[in-house]
Amino acid sequence: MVKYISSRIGQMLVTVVLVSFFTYILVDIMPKDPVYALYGPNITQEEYEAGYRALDLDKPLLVRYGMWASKVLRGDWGTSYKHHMQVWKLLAPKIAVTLYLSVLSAIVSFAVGILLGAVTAVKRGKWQDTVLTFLANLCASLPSFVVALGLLYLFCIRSQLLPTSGFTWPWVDFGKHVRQLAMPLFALSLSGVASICRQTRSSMLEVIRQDYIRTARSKGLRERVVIVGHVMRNALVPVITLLGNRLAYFIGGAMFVENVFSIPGTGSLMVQSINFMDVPVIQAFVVLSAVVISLAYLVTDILYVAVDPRISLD
Amino acid sequence: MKTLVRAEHIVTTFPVDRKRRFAAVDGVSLELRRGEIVGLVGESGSGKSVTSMSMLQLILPPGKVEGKVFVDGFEGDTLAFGADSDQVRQIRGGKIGMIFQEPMTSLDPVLTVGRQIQENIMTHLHLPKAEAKARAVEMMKAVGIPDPETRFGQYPSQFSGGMRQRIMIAMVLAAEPDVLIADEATTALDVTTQALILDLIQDLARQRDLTVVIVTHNLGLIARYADRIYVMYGGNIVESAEKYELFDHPIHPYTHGLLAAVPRLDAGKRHMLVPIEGLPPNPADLPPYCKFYDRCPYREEACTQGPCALYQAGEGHFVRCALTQEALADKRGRLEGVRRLMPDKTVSQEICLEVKDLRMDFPIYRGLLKQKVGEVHAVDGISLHVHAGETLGVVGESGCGKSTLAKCVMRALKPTAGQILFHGEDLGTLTGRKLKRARSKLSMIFQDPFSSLDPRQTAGSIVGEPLKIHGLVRDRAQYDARVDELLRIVGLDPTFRDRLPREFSGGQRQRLGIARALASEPDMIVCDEPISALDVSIQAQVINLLIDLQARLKIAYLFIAHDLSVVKHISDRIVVMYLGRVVELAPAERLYESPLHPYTKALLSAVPVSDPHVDLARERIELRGEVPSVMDHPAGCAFCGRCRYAMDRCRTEAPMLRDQGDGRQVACFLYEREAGERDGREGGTEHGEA
Ligand SMILES: Nc1ncnc2c1ncn2[C@@H]1O[C@H](COP(=O)(O)OP(=O)(O)OP(=O)(O)O)[C@@H](O)[C@H]1O
Ligand code: SF4
Ligand code: SF4
Ligand SMILES: [Mg+2]
Repeated sequence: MVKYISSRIGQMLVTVVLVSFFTYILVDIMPKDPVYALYGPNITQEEYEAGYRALDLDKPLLVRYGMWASKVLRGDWGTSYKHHMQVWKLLAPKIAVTLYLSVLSAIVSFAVGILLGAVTAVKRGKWQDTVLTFLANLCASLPSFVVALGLLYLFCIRSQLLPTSGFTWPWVDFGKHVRQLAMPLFALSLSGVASICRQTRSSMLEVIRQDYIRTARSKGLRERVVIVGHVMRNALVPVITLLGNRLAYFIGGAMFVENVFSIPGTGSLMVQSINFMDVPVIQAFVVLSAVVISLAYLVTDILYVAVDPRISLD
Repeated sequence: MKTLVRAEHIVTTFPVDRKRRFAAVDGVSLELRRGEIVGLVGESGSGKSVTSMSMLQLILPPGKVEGKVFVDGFEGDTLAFGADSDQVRQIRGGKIGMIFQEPMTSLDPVLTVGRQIQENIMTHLHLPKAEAKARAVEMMKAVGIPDPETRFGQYPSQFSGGMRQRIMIAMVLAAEPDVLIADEATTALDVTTQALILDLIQDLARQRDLTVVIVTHNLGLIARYADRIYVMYGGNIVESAEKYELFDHPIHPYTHGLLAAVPRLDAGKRHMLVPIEGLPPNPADLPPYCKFYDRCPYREEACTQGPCALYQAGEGHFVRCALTQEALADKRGRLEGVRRLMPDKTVSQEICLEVKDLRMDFPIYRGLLKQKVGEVHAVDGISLHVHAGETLGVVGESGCGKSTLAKCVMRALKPTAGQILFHGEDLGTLTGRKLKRARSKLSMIFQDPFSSLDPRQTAGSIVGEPLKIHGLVRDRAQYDARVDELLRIVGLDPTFRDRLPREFSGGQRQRLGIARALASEPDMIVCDEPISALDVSIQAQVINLLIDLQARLKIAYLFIAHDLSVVKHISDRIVVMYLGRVVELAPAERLYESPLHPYTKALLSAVPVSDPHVDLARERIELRGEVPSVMDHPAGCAFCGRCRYAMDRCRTEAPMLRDQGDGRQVACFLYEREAGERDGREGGTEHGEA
């Protein structure tokens, strides 16, 4: 187990290093001159050369990468071309918002999705199943920004029940936090709930047919015990493996939804940075995404081993 | 004896489509008394499992159970309580425990076995957790699981099939039920393990005054273990009687059919089997009269007059047939002529296939990272030969390398070392036209008639494909004629040639497989478990076909099967394998009459004979321990861990396969000295390394 996890962490580090290297090469490929980008176009030849050396552009690529990487490890991602401030200072609060939104949405999707999925599976063929499965099929393919726009129209433009925009941390003003977050969270989680629900349903129906469930019933266990203790235990194994996959998807979705609800997350910053070719910000963003997504997959793998004893053995 | 369970007229139906339902069980009444072992026997689909599950109300919707079930200690008809009622849940597990067919899938893979046993104890005996654990450990010990404290915390995947079935038994018996239903509980296991498990159940039943229902298609098991027997066909019980009465005076035509259709270990090899004509019925369109009518050699007008009633034919002996006992006996006298003799065949001295020092190693990968941690020697130095026109049977427990041997011969696997000579030419070095020719002369029949045929290919092209591959026909007309001929040879109507595999029954598909194997006019066919997926009555048809074809076409067979009675029936000589090696080789009759190797003796004694008198008289040798894994091959004789004659020498040195004269070879130190003497006298030779 320990060996397995350490080797997976090793793999993850290799991935991140590769991603960061290719991201770094972007600087060279970008048509934008980093010196002009940083100090403006109206500088003298001397100033340009000083800047050129300050950015270590006179060194070979690998050396430059090494220097950049060692700075990054110390938290120094360079200076934003556009905002002329430390990339980290610029990014940190926004990343926090986006991560908060996507992790929360992952939790909601899994909790509600598994619950509804279990209901549809247990009530298979009954009206509860018919209705929920129909809704799930409908919602699973709805893009989150479409839902977001629909909500905006219903609750803000037609009825002004909820605020259209902004973000407040719960410890600042909890009530406001809830009101502001309701719609974005719903928009972001709806398709997640729907697809987790479908996944749970089919996985449970698969498990319900298994011989060991018949064994559990033949022992005279209560139906509730059979479902929770045996069916769910087994059925959730493949559902949980979706977690990593889903988290990556939520981070992507969050950025759209943030734009719709003017939430100060990474979404709008990312768009600006790409438009402006703000290379240091893009670099930080890509590398950090790689880290987060790798971590999500690592967590999934560990969970997988934890819930399925067949894997951790020998 | 007190009646514990009485089922009255159970009818269990399943929907065919929106409007129609069919009765998988159609009016079954039976009775289980305290302390007896009841056999419920019948072919696949006869409704044995559905009957057992109906009594426990384990049939899920849309299935529906009607009738009445009375259980000792419960007031009134328990079916009326409803499947999820408290009473029925107390009966399930608490009063009647059930063990299912598939040991590999019947335990929850994500819970420890201990917890699964504990759960049952806590549900029915209402013990606190710690006591339930102590009792679970005790039960695991009682069913022969070594080191139960450690094993308690392990998962099902860490146990072998036989061990899992023991866990199931421990689990079911831990809640102290009065009745134990074992639904084909040992069918998926090796004969040796099967005997161990059923002996265990029998002992426990005697100790605890338990009633056991053994549900099986195997008449031998019933003859050995049951006290009273119910025979099922098409959802009916067609005959029931006390064991000796049933085997000594069977009355129902189906019971007679079954008894004549299975080969017996103790029978001579002169007679062919008598298959039951036709196919097992499709339960969705059974006639309203006798279900056996289509296949019954005794049928007459009177049989179609409506459902047959059960009549009493003797003390506790009941038969469901339109004809009286006397009428049936009279007809039997006229119908049952002499049994057909086996056709004469010629085995020439010419050697068709020779295997020399064959070795096949597989790498073992472990863990999630799939690191190679070693090698298994699946086939570990085997030498044998097959004469032209001869059948060489291969037997051994699962995992002993039988199929690996077959695959090496077919060159589906490239052996690690050794040679395979076909008509004296090494298959490993042949190339081009010679290889193609050799391949066309060596074909194969597979185990599973359901998955081994391409579902989209028509019967005609399945059978004709080898003709094209090997270029054996010149034109379309010749091709058509040959395909028709092949279908006719295996007893299929040539007009079926445009049908797809799914439109054939299991037995018919296996015939297609045989026709395909025959297409290239092979000299030899490798048959790997060719009949194990088929029903008993169909097995006999296929075995007879193989025997007839051999006599007519002089084909040699390498016949691999786990059913020792079948192998004996069909083979001229038999090879006994153990952990990748040959431990004994002998002519079939002699091997069964006087086996030499301790393993062969134990293996044969584990096979029940479908005659209770004969079976009772046979010597029983208990084979200790589980089928070992090729992974941990002992240093000396591979069998020494389970051998009751094991000596010090056996643990350090591996015995060679030595000639014992009269065409037999054995690898065991017990015969070493005599063989050595004979070697000296007659200048006998050693045959390869064992
Ligand atoms: N859940 C079900 N739905 C529909 N048909 C079923 C169901 N269970 C069993 N059957 C049908 O009922 C018939 C009797 O089945 P059953 O399993 O009792 O046979 P069996 O005698 O136990 O056979 P085997 O030896 O193969 O276990 C079969 O035709 C089977 O296809
Ligand atoms: S009722 Fe007729 S067809 Fe049926 S078993 Fe008896 S003799 Fe045969
Ligand atoms: S060699 Fe020894 S251990 Fe092996 S079978 Fe013979 S007596 Fe038994
Ligand atoms: Mg069955």
